[in-house]
Amino acid sequence: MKRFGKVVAVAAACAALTCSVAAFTACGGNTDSITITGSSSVTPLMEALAAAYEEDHDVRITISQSSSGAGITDTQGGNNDFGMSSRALTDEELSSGVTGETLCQDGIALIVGSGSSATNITTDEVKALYSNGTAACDGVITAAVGRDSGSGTRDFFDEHFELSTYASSVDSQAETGNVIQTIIGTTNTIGYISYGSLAGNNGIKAVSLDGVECTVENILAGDYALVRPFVIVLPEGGVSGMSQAAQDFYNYIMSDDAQEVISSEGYISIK
Amino acid sequence: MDKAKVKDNIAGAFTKENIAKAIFIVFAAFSILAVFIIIGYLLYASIPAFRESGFFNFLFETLWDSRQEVYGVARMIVGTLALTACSVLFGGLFGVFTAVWLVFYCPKKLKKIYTQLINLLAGIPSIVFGLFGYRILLPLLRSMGAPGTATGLVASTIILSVMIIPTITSITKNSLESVPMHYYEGALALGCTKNQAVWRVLVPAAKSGIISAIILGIGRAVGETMAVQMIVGNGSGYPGFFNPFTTLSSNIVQNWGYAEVWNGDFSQPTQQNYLFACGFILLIIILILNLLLLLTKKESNAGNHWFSRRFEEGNVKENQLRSYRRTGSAQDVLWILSWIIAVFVAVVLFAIIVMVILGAAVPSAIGLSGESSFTLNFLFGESSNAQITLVPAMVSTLMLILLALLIALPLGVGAAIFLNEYSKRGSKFVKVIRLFVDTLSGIPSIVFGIFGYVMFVQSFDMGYSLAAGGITLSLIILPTVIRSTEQSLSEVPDSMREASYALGAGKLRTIFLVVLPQAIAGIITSVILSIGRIISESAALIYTVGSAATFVPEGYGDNCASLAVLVWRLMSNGMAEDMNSAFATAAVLLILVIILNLLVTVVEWAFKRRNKV
Repeated sequence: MKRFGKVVAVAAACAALTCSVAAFTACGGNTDSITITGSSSVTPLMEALAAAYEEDHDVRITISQSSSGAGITDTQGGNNDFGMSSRALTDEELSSGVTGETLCQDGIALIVGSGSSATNITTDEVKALYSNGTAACDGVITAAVGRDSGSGTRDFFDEHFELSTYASSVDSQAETGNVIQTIIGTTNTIGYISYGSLAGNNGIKAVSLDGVECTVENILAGDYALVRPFVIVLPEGGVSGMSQAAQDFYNYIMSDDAQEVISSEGYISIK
Repeated sequence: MDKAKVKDNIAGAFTKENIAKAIFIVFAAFSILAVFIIIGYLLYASIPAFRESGFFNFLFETLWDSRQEVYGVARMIVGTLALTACSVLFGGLFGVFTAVWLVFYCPKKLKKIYTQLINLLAGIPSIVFGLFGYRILLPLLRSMGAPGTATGLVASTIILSVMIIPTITSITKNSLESVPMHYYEGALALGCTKNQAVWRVLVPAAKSGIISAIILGIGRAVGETMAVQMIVGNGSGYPGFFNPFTTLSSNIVQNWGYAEVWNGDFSQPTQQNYLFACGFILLIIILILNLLLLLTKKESNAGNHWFSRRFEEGNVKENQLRSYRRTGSAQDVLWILSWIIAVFVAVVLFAIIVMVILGAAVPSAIGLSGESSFTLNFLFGESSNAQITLVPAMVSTLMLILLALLIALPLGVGAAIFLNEYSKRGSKFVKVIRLFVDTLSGIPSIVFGIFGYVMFVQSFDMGYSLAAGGITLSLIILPTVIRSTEQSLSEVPDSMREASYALGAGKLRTIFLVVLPQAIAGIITSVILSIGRIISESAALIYTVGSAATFVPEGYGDNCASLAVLVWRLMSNGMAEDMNSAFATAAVLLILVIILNLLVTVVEWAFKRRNKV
């Protein structure tokens, strides 16, 4: 019977631990909570905005990154306060009642390892490299990394370069960070990422596209071709369909103060 | 019959014994139910996909493109099979040799430590393997001249082989240890050398255990998602040594987040249905494997046929045996090989741990830039959107472990008790249950993930939450609990049960006071394996608990990433400092696993000491 008692004691200890964890976590207070889900390209920017906002507001902003499509679906299903998308919404998505508001613009940079001698790539070379695996930049660039087929970044990239299926030698990485990490340290591999993610990473550099450098000036001047919008997905009913806390935060990210944060993070303010 | 007697009979049916038996049956049945619901739902959700494109078209179409709405899995099936075959070949070989070395050749003092090392290897989260492969192995291969980005069969086989070694080693070790000592003594008495006895008598005698070890290894290899997904490259081609390819599981994890939610209309399949179909095909592969293994098991059970034949052969060819001893035999070569492999496995384990912790402490040592994130503030500081710390993820991981164990442990132990203590040995019903438990354990965690998403996140309206993640995890660890509890129950000698009955104890009392205490070490092992699995798990959690990790969860309804999911999230963010944080988180995971392993040793030591007294 002694042993049986011990088993019971262990079970009781487990239960007590659960309860204490639950109790410990339950006393978090009545802070307002905002949930934002969606595009992994927008997430770093949204985190920076949330960090700035939290400095003088008592609010919990939970940002869950997945994909543009998931962010839109979550908004449609009421699983978040608002969604993030790195592409414009399709007509079909708009027909369900959600709406999109452009937060800012983002360039897509073509990147290589910082040790690479490649500095410029042409549109035709990009097309040939991604669709047939043909070497580019005088044979310097022989391998390419893309994003997975549902990515908003890839959608935009493929549409711009009129690509459909990638050559079998092209890697597909799930996220922006994976593309960067695959390319760091190589000299012969090219990939494409959000321009905002370029800053702060030492092992990579952007190459020019058809002789135009990927810089904020060129993007603003309209010279650099690869530019796409970051979109906030609002639920049915627009801004007034959201909770008060979410409305306040939404008003903040659309304000001039927030545009300063956006510019300083390397994205292109639209105001 | 008068009424009083009927009443007595009814009352008699509700004895403690019968109620307990009924509960155990229900627990065992729950496992079957879970499998049926998952398989049933997978089939249900796959049907629209098969109907739209035709089953064979889907199977033999090589293109998967959501924009053209063409979905085919031919090259992913080839990818999964090729990768599984390669890694089970190497991982299986290494695992079995390591086990044989561990049981028969390992110096006595080293044995416990080495077993710990294998447990440690088993506990390393797959996301850490992924991080290691991705940030350390791939650059290494590239610097050795591998073409392109070095992703492909070579890199993924290396990682996956190492990942399945502990599974195969620990099961093989168990079955080798349960071969009766007199087999060994008999072989020696017949003039075998130690090496001959080991390789020609003891290893063949443990054949069925080795086969089941390899089944588990295959299950692990087919099911592996996150680590593989980072290293295979997910290209659109067929597997080559350095050619990026896609497996069924990596295809699911890559595309699920983008797939449009299926609205339940059979005539309008979305990409989700095709991804469910991928999961269904994985299941079919696993079912076929299990059936094949069931057949091989049957053969070996028929009176240990093979072993007896060998035995006779040894009798007849006495001269040959003698000459073996004189000249040094093939078995001696195997002996040397097992030493080399065992040392190699230990070196690999140390290399992984050292590199990851080094990467966390000194990022520049492994080619990362920036400051180390391995600081007290990152580990224990207050978390906010400005600076994420590990506290929320730690609380989340702990809560997931508690919830999953609270559900799976009683269910699993109850089912194992039914299987081992109540059912007739060799009955068809038990065989069916075992087949389903094997199937459940073979289901890739990403399939659990998408099932959990549809079932708990959506249908039960839990949203991305710890509750949804915890319940999904409990399904994942259920087979582990059942299998290892059953294994340890079956190792309790029948004489102990008979002695208990002879002393007048009932069945229930025998189970709880005699059998279970004897098997407690095995149950604890199953809990540890489960905790390891939970800590490792990321694929099943990304789509159930979500990936936010900024705030400490306030309850089971909150969305909060576990440590392993946080590693994934940090490495996909794209910023240099996030990569350093990913390594720091991975180092924390490793340190947790090491502490866990040490704790287990202490617990087991305590149990052994108490049993002696």
